[in-house]
Amino acid sequence: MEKEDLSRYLWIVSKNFWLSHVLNLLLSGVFLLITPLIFGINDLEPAEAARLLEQYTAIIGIFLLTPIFRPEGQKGIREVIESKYTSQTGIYLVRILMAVLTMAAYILVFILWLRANNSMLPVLEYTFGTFATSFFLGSLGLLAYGISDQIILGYMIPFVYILFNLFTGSRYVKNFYLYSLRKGSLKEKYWLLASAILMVTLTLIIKWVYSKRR
Amino acid sequence: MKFIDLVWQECRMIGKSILYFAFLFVLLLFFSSQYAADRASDLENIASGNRVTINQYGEKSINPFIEPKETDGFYGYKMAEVPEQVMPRVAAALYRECRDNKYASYPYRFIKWVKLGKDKQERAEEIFQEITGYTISEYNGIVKKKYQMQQGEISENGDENITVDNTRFYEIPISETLTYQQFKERMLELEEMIGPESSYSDLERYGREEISYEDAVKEYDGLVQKDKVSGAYARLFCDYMGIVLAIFPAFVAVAYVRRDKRAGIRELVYSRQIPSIKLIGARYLALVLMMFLPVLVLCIPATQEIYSGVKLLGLPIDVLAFFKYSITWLLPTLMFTVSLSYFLTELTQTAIGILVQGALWFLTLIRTPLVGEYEWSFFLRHNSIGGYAAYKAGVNEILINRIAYVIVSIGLVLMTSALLARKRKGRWYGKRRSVKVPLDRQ
Repeated sequence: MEKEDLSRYLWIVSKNFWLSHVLNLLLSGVFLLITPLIFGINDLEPAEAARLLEQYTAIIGIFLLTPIFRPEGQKGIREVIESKYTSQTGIYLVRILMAVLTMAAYILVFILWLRANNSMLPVLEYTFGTFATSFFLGSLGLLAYGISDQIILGYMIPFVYILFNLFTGSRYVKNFYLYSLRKGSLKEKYWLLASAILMVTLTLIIKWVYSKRR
Repeated sequence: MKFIDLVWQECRMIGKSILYFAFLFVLLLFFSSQYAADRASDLENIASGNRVTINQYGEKSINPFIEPKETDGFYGYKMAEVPEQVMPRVAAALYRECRDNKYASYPYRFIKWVKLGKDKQERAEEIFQEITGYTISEYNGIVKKKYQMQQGEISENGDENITVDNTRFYEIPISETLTYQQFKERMLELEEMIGPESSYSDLERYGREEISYEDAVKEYDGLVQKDKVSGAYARLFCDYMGIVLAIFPAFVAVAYVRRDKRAGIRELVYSRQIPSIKLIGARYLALVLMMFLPVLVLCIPATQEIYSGVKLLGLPIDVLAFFKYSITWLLPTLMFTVSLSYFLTELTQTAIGILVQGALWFLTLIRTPLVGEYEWSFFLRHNSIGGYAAYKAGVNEILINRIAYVIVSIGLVLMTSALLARKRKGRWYGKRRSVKVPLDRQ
C-alpha cells in the first residue's frame, strides 16, 4: 500500500512538474540569466551583493510560488479535480515543495556564480537571507491568490510590499523588512521565514475550507 | 443601451472588484507614507517661523517659506561645477579606481564594476598622470608616506608591509598647467571607456557653492508668489501619485479585461449587437474614471492641509492647484497605463500587459532624474517643493509630452476596438489547428 502511495506521488511530481512548474522554472531561470545585462555581478562587496540579491534575485519567489493554483484556475477543472480520490492539498504541497526547492537551488547557484566572479560574500548566510526574502514574497502572493482566487492580485500584493519597503525602509515594517542583509542583520530573516511558513499553511487551510464549502 | 448607461454599469462592476479595492489601498498607502510624510516636516518648518533651522545632522537648513533678507548672510548651498573643487576630488576617485582597475558605474542605479582591458587601463593611467603630474606608482608612494606620517611611524626603514588601502583621502592636487576644458575632455574619454553613470559623469555633484541673496529671493518668489505654495506641493503630490498610476492601474485593467474569459462569457459578449468601439470605449472610460476619481478626492485633504498650514504665515494659496496638476500631469499617465495594458490583454488574452507595463515603469523610474528632464517619460517626476525654475523651463516639454500620451492612449483604444471587431468576425481568434477528417469509405 505504502509503495503504491509513493509511486502515486512520484507520478504526481512528474505530472505537476510539466503541468505547473516548468514554465515558472524557465521564467525564473531567464530572469536570473539576464542579470549581467542589467547589473554588475563581478567584484561586488558584501553590501553591494546583498542589494542585488535582496532587491532583484529574491523576486524569483513570486514567479515560482505564487502561481501554483493556476492549473485549477477554471471553476470546471477545479470541481472535477476536487472530486478525485487523491487529496488536492497533497498535490498543492508537492508543488510548493518543488517551488521552494527550486528557489533555494537557484539562489545558491546564483550566489556561487557571484563568488566565481570575484564577489566577496558569505555563501550560507546570504543564501539563507535571500531565500527568506524570496520565500516570504512568494508566500505573500500565494496567500493573496488563495484568498481572492485572482492570480493578478497574487502578483500585485508582493509588488506593493516591495515598493513599500523600497520607499519607506524599515520605518513601518520593522521586523518584516525585506532588505536587512545589506545592513548585516539576519534577525529579520527569521521573522520573514516563520511568517512565510505560516502564510503557506494558512493558504492551504483556506483552500481546504473553500473546497469543503463547495 | 445608451453609452452613458453602459459606462455607469461598467463603473459599478469595477467598484465591486477586489483588485479595485487593492488599488485604493495602494493609493492611500503611498499618499500617507510618502507624500504626507514629506509634508509633515515642512509644516513644522512653517510653524517655526525661522528662516534658518538646524537639521537632524546639526547642519544649517533653510526654511523656504520665510522671505530671505539681505542681512541674513547665509542662504543655503547648491551643487555647482566649481573647477577648484571638482578636479582634485575626481582625481582622488580616479586614483582609487585606476590603482585597482575597478571602476564603478551605475547604469541602472545598481553598481556595476568595470575592469578595463590592457590598452584602456594604460590610457586611464596616462590620464591620471596628465591631470596630476604623477604616475599611479609614484602616487602610491606618496599615499604610503602620508599614511605612515599619520600613524607616526615614519622612519628610513619604514614597514614595507603597510598597504595604502586603508588611507582616507578625498582630494589630489592638480597639475598647474591643466585647464578645466582639458580636464573635462579627459573625463569624457574615461566615461566612454567605462560606461554611463561612472565617477566621471555629472561632475556638478563634486562641488557646491553658497546660494546668493538674489537666487534665494528668486527661489522664494517661485515658491510663494508664482507657485502660491500649493502649486509646489501639487507637483510633489503628482510625483508620488504618478509612480502609483504608472503601474497599479495595469493590474486592475488586466484583471478586468480577463474577467469575461474567467467567467466563460467571452463568446457571449462577442455575439452581442453592441459595436466594438462602444464596448471598449465604455469599459476604458469606466476604468479611467474609477481610478482617477480617488485621486481627485485625495486632492481635497491635501489642499486643506496646505491651506491651514500657510494661513499662519499669511501666504497666498491656489486652492485649485492640486486639481489642475492632477488633470494635466496624472490623467495622461493613467490613460496611457490603462490603454496599453488593455490593448496587450485583448491582443494576447494573457497577463503580459502587467509584465510590459512593469518593465516600462522600472526603466522609466531608474533613468529619470528626481526633478526636471521630463522629455518622453510617461510619468513626470518632480520630487521637490523647490525647482520652480526647472519646472518653468520644462513647461513646453511637459505640454508636448502630455498631449502626446493622450493621443497615443486614444490610438491604443481605437486599435483595441479594431482588434475586438476582427475577433468578433472570427479572425485572430485563438489558435487554429488543422483537423484531419477521415473520409468515409463506401
